[in-house]
Amino acid sequence: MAKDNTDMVDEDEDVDIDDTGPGGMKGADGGYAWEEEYKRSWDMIQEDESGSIQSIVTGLNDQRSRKRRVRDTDAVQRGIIRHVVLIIDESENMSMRDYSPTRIQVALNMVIAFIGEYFDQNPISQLSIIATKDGLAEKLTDLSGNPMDHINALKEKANKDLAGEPSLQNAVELGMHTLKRAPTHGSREIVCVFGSLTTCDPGDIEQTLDALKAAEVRVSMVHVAAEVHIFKRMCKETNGAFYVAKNEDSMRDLLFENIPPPAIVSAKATNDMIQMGFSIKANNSVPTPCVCHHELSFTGYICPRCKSKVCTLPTDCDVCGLPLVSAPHLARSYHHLFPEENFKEVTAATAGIADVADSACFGCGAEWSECGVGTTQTAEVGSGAAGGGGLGKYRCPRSVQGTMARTIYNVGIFIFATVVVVANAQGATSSAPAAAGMARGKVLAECGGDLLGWAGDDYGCCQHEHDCCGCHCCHHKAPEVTVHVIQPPPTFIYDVTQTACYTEHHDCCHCPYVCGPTCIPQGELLAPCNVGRRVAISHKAHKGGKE
Amino acid sequence: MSEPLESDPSLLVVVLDVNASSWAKSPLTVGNALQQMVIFINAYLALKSENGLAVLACNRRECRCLYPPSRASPAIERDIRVYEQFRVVDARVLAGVQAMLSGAEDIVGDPNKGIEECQTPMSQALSKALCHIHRVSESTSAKVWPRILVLSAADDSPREYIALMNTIFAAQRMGVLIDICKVFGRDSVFLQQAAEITGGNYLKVDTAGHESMLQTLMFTCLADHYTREILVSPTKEMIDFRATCFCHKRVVDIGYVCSVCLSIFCQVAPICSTCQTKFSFRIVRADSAQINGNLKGSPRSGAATVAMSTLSLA
Repeated sequence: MAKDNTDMVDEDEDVDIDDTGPGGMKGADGGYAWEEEYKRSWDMIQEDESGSIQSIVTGLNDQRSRKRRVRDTDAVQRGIIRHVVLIIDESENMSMRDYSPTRIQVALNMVIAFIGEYFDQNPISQLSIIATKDGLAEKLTDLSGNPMDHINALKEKANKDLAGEPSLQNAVELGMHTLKRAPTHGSREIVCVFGSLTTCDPGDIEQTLDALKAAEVRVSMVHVAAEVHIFKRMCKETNGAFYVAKNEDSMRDLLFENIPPPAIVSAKATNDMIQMGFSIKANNSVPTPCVCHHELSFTGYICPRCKSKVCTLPTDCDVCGLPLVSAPHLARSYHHLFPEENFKEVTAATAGIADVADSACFGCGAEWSECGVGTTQTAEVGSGAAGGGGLGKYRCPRSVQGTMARTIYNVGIFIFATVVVVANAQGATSSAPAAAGMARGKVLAECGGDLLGWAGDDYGCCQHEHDCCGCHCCHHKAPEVTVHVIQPPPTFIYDVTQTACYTEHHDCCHCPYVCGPTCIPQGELLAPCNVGRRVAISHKAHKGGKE
Repeated sequence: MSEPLESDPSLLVVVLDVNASSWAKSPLTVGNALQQMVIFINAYLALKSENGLAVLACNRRECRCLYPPSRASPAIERDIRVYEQFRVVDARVLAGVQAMLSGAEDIVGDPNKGIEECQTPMSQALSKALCHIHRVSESTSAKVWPRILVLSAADDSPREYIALMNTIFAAQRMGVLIDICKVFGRDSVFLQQAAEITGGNYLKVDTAGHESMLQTLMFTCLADHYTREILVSPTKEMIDFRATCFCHKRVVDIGYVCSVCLSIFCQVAPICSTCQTKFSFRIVRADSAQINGNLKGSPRSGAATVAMSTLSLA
């Protein structure tokens, strides 16, 4: 179930509840799920030669952690500045005890965790919370960027009383009104956590659905009980995702699917320049009140426009409304723009001779035997049951020594997209077609020149007479975009921004393997190999966009 | 995260920057700095027997783990007069750095003279340090309080900005303090942010002016998580978190940010110079965003006006 967002969008008619495959209710062999033989989860656990099940359990755990580790690394335009409305079902149905202690308690814990994670990953985004009960919708918090406000609001009142039926229509209408004043460059999303199998609506929900589609609001839902046709349809028709949680863990996973920003599919989305204030931290000798909570404090951040003091960043200034951020907050959002590639698992088939000889994890330096990672022989034993077929080793996809394509961030003060054109000794096997498609920055492709033609020696280094790093045909130079022409070592690079020619020693990622789940913290982007990534932001509508 | 107790052990990862080119300019010699660092490490190990340690060294080319040693590395002769753990650490660190420095001479000889000569890919070392910390904390049941100490001499390497920021945020999430000891050169903007974001100390030691690096380290970086809550850390200079605009490299108070790639500009431009996005002919000011929203869609106006009034009240 834990698929990435891209799959959610173009998922077909059915949502698979029992994880049997894309056919949903249809099982793996094409029949309905209930016609299938009952799968006994304990059947797949088999003892190894020594009679221990430890290796199998480890394999299963690895598989689980691996599943969550795979991130969407497509370079598509994402709505980095998001506006999300969280709708929480607070009807009587949420008091059921199929989750321990109650559905609502579990749901609220998850939502609180979600809010923390959401703002950690999307620091310049906004959130609003709506609760629905007794056929009504109530806004708990308005759109704002301060996680503590939302969490406090949830802790204070929400779970005190559950009553009546929820109203999806009322809640969604209220959510839409909240989102309407969100600027068009951001994404508009509604994320629902529901436990009821009914909705008590005042009017025709079809009209609401049409309005949602017109407003291009994306609705996603995590249901704690079962699939409901209208809920699912609403999600599907608005390009959202509908999920049914199987248990507490899966609920967490499914809700957290909504944390990375989705690709922009909206036709109405605009690109804007957003005015933002970069505040300076203030240290007062006398405590002064902040404008947000009216509490006295020594420190705070000063709004550069109206000079009022707020206590936390990022936020909107309460006096003049200027969004206040700091440079690290913008940097925190960059990992959605410039995603690190997923580590690939090394299988016995893909491992080279040198790989087997390699004795330790590159990341943490531990011996493979310490990590429980198998060598080629033992891997086959484990893979049968675990279904992974891998060695449990992971490799950075860029560390393949034969591949010369790699990218270097060219950084002025922050970053720029760069495209690498490969020139190898054999000739034109460059990544140019891909580069041409990717290069939103129209990297030297202004003239439509044949990128493949670059792969000659002409573009190797600045000592050549050619206008190196400029387009062959039109001599166009894009000052802010750098083309690194990489040849087998030694490599010559011309860096336009620094106007200096120097060589780059061939430090193509030496990172042979890391032990994946064991050494790299979950959800973080560490690059022990420290190699930049080919990056470009494609403005084309994402696949599975609006039909 | 629970509160640190006095009895909890720490895990210190020392990252040594052994970039030969930048040390060559430093008033403090590598040997001298290394001696002081080894004394500091011994002091740290002596504080608590459960304290964990790892030492990484990195130069432009590679990042090596000097301690704990890999199994393949040759054994060291025993010496009965020195405390076993000190001896192993000292020998490994000194030998390792020596090996890396002598290996680095090749680089100095090659035509690699350039801007990046004095830069060290710190993100690589910090990533490895975090991997090590994560591994240790996963494998032990007892609570270990991790921190990283970076001895830095080299300049920032701007091309690894994103990698470094990702690393810093990862450290923040893991609750790892990053202490920075900068012995030479300009202040490192990136490492200042690392210390600030993770709650560590940024120390600039004026080695030319006879400030002792060892003394500074002993008084600030030796303290574990528990002690740091009691101690008053050296006054941090105000770190300016304002951004620099991409167009003129000016520090901006109120900037304009591209909604696609988050580039920062100090003035309005029709096209984003980074991602070539063409902007619509309006700037989203916070106070006018709602009005713009009104103009876009016809059926919205009523609700949006209501929303506006509620916003101004909020």
